[in-house]
Amino acid sequence: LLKLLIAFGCAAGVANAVQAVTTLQLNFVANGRLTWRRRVAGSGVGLWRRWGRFHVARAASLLLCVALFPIVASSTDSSVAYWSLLVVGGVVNFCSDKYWSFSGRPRRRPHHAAGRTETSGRLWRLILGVVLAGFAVVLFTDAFILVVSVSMILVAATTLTFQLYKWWRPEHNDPHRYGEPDAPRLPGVILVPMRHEEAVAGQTLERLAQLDHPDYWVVPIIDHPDDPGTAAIAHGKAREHPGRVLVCPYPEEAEVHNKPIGLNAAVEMLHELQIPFAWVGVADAEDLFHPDLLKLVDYRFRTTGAGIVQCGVQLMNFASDPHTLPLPVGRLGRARRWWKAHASAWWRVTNVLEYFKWFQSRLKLQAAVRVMPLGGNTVFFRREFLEALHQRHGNYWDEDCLTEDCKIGILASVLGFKVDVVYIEELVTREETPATLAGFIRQRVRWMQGFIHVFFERDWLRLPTLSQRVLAVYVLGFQFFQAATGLLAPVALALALFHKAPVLLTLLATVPLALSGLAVLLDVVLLAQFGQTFGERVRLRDYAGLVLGAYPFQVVLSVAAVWATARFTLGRNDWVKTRHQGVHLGATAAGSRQPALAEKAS
Amino acid sequence: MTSVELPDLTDIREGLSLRRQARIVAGERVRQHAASACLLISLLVLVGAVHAVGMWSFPRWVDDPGTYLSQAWSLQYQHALSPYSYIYDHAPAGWIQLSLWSMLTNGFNRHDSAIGFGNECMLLAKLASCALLFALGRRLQFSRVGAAGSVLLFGLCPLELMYSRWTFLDNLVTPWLLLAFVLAASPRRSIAAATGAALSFAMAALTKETALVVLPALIWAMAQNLDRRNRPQVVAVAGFSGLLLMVMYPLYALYKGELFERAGQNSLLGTAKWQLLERESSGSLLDSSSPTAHMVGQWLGIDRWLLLAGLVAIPIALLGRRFRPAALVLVIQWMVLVRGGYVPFMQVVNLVPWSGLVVVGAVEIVAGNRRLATFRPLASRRGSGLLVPRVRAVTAGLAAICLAAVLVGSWTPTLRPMLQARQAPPLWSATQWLADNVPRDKVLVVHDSIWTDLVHHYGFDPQPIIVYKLDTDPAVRRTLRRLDYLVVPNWYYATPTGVAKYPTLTEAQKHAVVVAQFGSGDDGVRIYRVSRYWRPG
Repeated sequence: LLKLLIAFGCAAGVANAVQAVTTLQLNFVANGRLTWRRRVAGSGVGLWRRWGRFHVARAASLLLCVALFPIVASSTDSSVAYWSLLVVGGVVNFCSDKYWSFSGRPRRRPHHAAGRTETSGRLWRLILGVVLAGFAVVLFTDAFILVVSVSMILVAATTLTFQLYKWWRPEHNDPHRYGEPDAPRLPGVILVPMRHEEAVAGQTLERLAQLDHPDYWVVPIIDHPDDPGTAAIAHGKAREHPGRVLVCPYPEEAEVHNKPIGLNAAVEMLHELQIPFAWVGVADAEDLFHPDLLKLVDYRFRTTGAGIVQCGVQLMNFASDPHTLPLPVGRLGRARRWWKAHASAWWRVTNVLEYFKWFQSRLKLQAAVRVMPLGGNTVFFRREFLEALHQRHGNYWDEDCLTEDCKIGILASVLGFKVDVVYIEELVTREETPATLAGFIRQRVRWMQGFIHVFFERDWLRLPTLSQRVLAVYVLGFQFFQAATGLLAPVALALALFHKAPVLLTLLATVPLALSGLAVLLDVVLLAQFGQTFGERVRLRDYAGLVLGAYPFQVVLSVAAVWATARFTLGRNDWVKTRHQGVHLGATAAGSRQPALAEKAS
Repeated sequence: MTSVELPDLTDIREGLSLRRQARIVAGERVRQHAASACLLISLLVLVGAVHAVGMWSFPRWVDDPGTYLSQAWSLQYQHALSPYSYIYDHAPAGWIQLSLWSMLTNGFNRHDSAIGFGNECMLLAKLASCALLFALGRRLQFSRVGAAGSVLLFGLCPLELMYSRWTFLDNLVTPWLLLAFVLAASPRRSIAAATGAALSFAMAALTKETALVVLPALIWAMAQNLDRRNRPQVVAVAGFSGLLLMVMYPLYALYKGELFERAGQNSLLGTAKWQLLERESSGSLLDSSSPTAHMVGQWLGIDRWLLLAGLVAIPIALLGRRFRPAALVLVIQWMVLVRGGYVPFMQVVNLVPWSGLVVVGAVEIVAGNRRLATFRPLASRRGSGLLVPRVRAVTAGLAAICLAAVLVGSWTPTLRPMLQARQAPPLWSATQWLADNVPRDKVLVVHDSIWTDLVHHYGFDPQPIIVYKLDTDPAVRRTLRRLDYLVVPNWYYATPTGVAKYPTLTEAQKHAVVVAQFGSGDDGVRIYRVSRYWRPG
């Protein structure tokens, strides 16, 4: 259009103005007819008001950019300023379109939209924060690099400290540190929430019914109308093991289906039936407990006086070996499996090592400082603790929280109950990594969102000491810090080099990257130890996957963090469940290796 | 009857809060180390007093302390590693430490002279070294008396006293190196201790790169103290951290574009090549006509007992398993003298503390301190005959007493003049004269040790030129238009090396008259005023 106008002999200024106005109008029409079509259709805002808003917003963003350009250009190069402001302008325009010009809401909000208002308020704050941070980066690059580097060093150093706790001093890793369990004395109950678990239910219940403990019940929790297959298996096992297996029905009246509701219902049932118990354990449907596990838990309850005993859970299928995965049906099954094994090993190996580190080190240290998000299974609660929880909050597990296990851990700290963490290689509960990367991300999003939820519930504010509260913030926010650090470390260094920051600052920006390198090195060491401990062969390509996948893994975590934040901001709390494949069962031939390991150890 | 159920805690402390646990542990450690602390404090007072009394006047002012202090001053006030362009002659951590201490305590303003501030830093370094030597002795299972003995040998040796009063980088290396060994011998065997050892060693190496030669000994010491239960993690974390800290130096050069050799530009690798390969060798100690042999002769002239006793004690010290890495340090430091490369004349600073340690260690071994020889806790050995231990104890006691007697007899007369010197250093008097008589805009060529004072206290502007830079720094040559005063000790003109090394200075002196004179002989200072009509070529 511009060229056309000039070709027809129009003055450059006039041509520009005509072009700008035309573009703006086309933009408005396209926005209304295409991008925001649905909103406009049912909107209570008239066309002209929309038009007015649109133009005011565009003018404001233009003014903003024009005003900022000289400031930004003076501190950076002018082309950098131009492009970054263009991006900023684009973001501002989009937001103003979405939430104001085409928002579809009249100015006066009806009262029933209070929830939405809160959501949109959060969103606004988030966007404002991001935009301000963007300006800060452009305007004060050196200061930004400094702040980011220092905070990344802090996060990286504390992360390393946390994950090295088990090896910090030799006696932390003493094979006899948990003592020799004596004869068990406390009666207990194991709760097993199950839903559509026909593949693994029979095996799990069979194993759980035969643990080495004289006095305990296994209680599968099953939604009968919804899931007749699993129900049939469970009732079959109950007939096989009378006095040991007892089926608990999932409350029919519940609209949603989640784990805490089932667990709460089961504990209520125990009270109604007056079954004696001193502790309650939680197992997932695919968890094969080690036969000696209850003996140890019983012993730890009695010797440590702990309110909760958290035992180790370990993901197992790290390998790029295709044989560890099930053979997919259909054409080229083997080739697809080969590809899948190799293309997913990089994140699975890191995920496996995360568990290895969490349960051996992190949780230990967190238990020592008494701020403690728990794991979701192989965790055992004292009856006294559950009663105290019930007295205070009206129920046991929080039914609205995505990560009820995390929350219950924080509440334990608030109520002053001690958590004992036990990781004995032979006794860990073996699990599998999520089947696909998407599944892994969904799981991570759920956890992260749950952690944000717990954070905003502010129970942690009631922790007794300041250091605990500080640590709680750290622990709850940790996954976000970690993701940000992993992602930003190379960026900060690149920025420092590109921006020609002072040499000292560049050196400082190098340190977080180097610490990430140390973390990878430690992972390599740990993978070798993992292979030795569990008798798994670790191949060179697994190490390669670990090293090469380290950065992509951080990217994945960051994506999950962003997604979780977005979901929380938008107030979406629906459950994203991880599906179980039973990979860890196939390879170990229904746990036959676990007793073998135990024999070897004893 | 009601029974109260009490958890029988595996460790009763596990039930307490972290803060309480920390308080209990701290209390325990204070009680445990109270006797050592009392002994150590009295030792430090003694050694500190001997070091401090007379340190202003003795020994004479030499150039290196002035260089380092000018660089520390430059870091604090000019935010640069050197007032001239930094030539990577040494890693910079040494004067960064001096500078940090000055920033914290306003060091350059508290003293009349930068040399006074440097002396203060050296006193602190000496005290730190003494404390760490004591700790190292204890960690190597010396008796308390033995550890105290090694501190006295180190702290009162006249040779050490002379060299440790000079502001040399090696005197800052000593505490870092000792700290590295103390942490390497930590009984807790934690990742933190090993990492601390690696980081301390890295600091030593960044303070003066020559510390790198004892790396094998440190690795040995750390390897001895590894525990199977956390070995891989300790090795990975400690090794990586130490390396990371050391790599900061080449990275600094890299980011400045000064790592690799390029024509017309300072570079780290270029300087390193010169230091290691091209610098004039001072010959091997075994060649009796070499400069090294001459230098060692000078050391032995001041005190021969400790160095030679250390040499003699090495074979005995190697008998104690725990003690071998420390003995290896001493062996390596002697090997440096034998190797035949360039040896700086303050190399003795690296010999003395380890000699003190090794001598005492040998005496302890002779006396039957079996804990030096093993890593296992000792079973009590009652009833296995008391004769042999007694004979050994008596022998060792006699040896120790003889040694002490010889040292008292030999050291007292040597120490006396070092403590009683009260004469003002000629360079200091010259500074005062310059401050009183010379306009501030004159161009001065000065000795390193007075440069900082002239700039900082007396405000000479343009800044005086350090004599060494006159012929070596292209930037100085480029801007040089005239010279007005020459202020260096007499030996710069008197010795053939001086004349050969400083051609511009020698030429200027030929066109100059003496306007003031302080002291006499080679160390005396004559102030020359250069003719107005002479121009540097």
